[in-house]
Amino acid sequence: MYPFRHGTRIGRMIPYFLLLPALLAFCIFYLFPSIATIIFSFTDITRTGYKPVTFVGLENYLDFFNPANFHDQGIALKNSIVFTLLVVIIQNAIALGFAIILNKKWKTRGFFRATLFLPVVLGITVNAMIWKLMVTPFGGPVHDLFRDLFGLNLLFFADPYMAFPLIVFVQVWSYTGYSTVIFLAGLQAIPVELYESARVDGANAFRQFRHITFPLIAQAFTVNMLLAVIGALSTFDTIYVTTNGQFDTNTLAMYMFKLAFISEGGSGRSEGRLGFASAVATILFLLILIVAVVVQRFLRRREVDL
Amino acid sequence: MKNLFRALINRFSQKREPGLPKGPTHIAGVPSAKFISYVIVGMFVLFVVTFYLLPILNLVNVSLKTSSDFSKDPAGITKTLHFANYSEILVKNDFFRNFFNSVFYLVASSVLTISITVLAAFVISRRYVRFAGFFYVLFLAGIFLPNPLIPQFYLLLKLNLYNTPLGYILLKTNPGIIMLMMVGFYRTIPKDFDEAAALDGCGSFRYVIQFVIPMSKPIIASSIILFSVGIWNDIIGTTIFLTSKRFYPVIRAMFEFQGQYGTDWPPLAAAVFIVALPIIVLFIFFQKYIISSITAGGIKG
Repeated sequence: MYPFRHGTRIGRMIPYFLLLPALLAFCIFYLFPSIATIIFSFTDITRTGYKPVTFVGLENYLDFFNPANFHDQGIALKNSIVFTLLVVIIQNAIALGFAIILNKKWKTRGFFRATLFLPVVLGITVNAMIWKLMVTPFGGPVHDLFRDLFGLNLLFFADPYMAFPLIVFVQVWSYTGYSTVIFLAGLQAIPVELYESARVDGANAFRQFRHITFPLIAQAFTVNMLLAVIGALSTFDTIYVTTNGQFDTNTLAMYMFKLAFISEGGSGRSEGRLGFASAVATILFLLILIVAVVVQRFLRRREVDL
Repeated sequence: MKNLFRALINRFSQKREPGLPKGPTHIAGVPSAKFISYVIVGMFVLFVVTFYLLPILNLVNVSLKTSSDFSKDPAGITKTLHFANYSEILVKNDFFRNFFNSVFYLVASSVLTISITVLAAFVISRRYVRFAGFFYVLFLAGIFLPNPLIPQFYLLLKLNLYNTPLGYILLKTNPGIIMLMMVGFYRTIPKDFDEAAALDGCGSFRYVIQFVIPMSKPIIASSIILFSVGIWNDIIGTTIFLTSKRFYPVIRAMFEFQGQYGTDWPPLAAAVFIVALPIIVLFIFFQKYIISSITAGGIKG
């Protein structure tokens, strides 16, 4: 019950007035557009918008899965899955290792924790530029290293075979600090006494990890897995700022973004087709939802409480 | 002198702790656990320096080279402090305007967002409105729903706000994750405060301004940081919704320089570093705040 009684009707409405601006802003500019994506996916709405919009039923979805022109979608779907698997596994494995090292007491570890975290706040565009500068064929140190050591003249982001792994690398590089910090918080919540009694019982380092650390950071593990899966599946800024989807690096999210907003000329089939792009966005949403639910179910089971 | 030597010898001999027996697991020739952990930490330090510090230092290094220096010896340590790269970016390319744009978007949208979110989070967390639980779930659901970019684009187009700063700011005024953080924060503050203040005859507006907002200072600070970093780095939103060059924020302008400068990296590196510097400075001062607020936001999400 609202304790601030004013007696009048308007007075009792005050809490609602306080709620209203945030609710309106959220609904108009975020919630409704989110839901409208699903509605758009059943229409032939375009970016130019000269034609009247008509409902086309499932046509966009049928078009997406149409085997005759599945090429682009197939690559995007495959890339999304490979990208997500690689990012989730590598990022969490490295982050867990880093967190264990940072959980030990040693001097200047705060500095290294901060350095690891820095890319998270620097943002993906700056990160991508930093690495483009490292590997540029025009004097990037990494490029020159490969040239001098192995006599290779690699193109890195402009190489069809290297672009995709490099994007995975930039993504992992950007967010490992984030996962590390979450693991670290999980590790620090484990009471030291558990390790002490395990040591008394003669458990070695591996057994301590297997039977104490691993079960007790399960919650942090779930959070990290979920964030990495959702993040990797819905990421397109990383790809936009590195290769712009060239060299077969489109993922589903990037494909959606490209269909809707990047006009390249050429293949006229997909220019500004917001309806079709919305269908891609909806398919991606369903994919994320399914994967997130499965991951959550699977991981929550092994969580234990202290 | 003699005493000094004795003191030194004492000091070092004491460190060895000769009285303690060696553990049964220690065998000559096999490295001890302590040694292994030193090696691991050393490798970690080496890794972070190579993969995290060097690329950033490389950026600063290149940004201080002259263009001819860069083409002659790209990877070497700079011999000049060629700050002309910075002035070229800032003055010749009107980067000041982009900088101002960024600051403007950042301040406007964070002031708007934080102020509406503080009020709404307060009444939702206290259940002073009906269906408070429903509203909370509504804000929570926003995180999982489909990507809203396409209808947002259409909405701005129809409102005649496409490619206007106002449209962009309104779009970014989104309580989202900050709402969840704030509701979580208010739940830790006992409701008794409200009742006590009400008993003393404090009106609700006065209570919000004089008590709620000062109480929420820490959460407001972390929200501002979290939000500002997001706006400062927003490349996708500014690419879609702001197409005129004069509305570009720094991040977008910097990204555009890529096409303009191509392989002439020194001025480009200067532009990247100008974008990165405010964040690095902010990060150095508020490191603990930033890490805790960003991870808290993530965990809640």
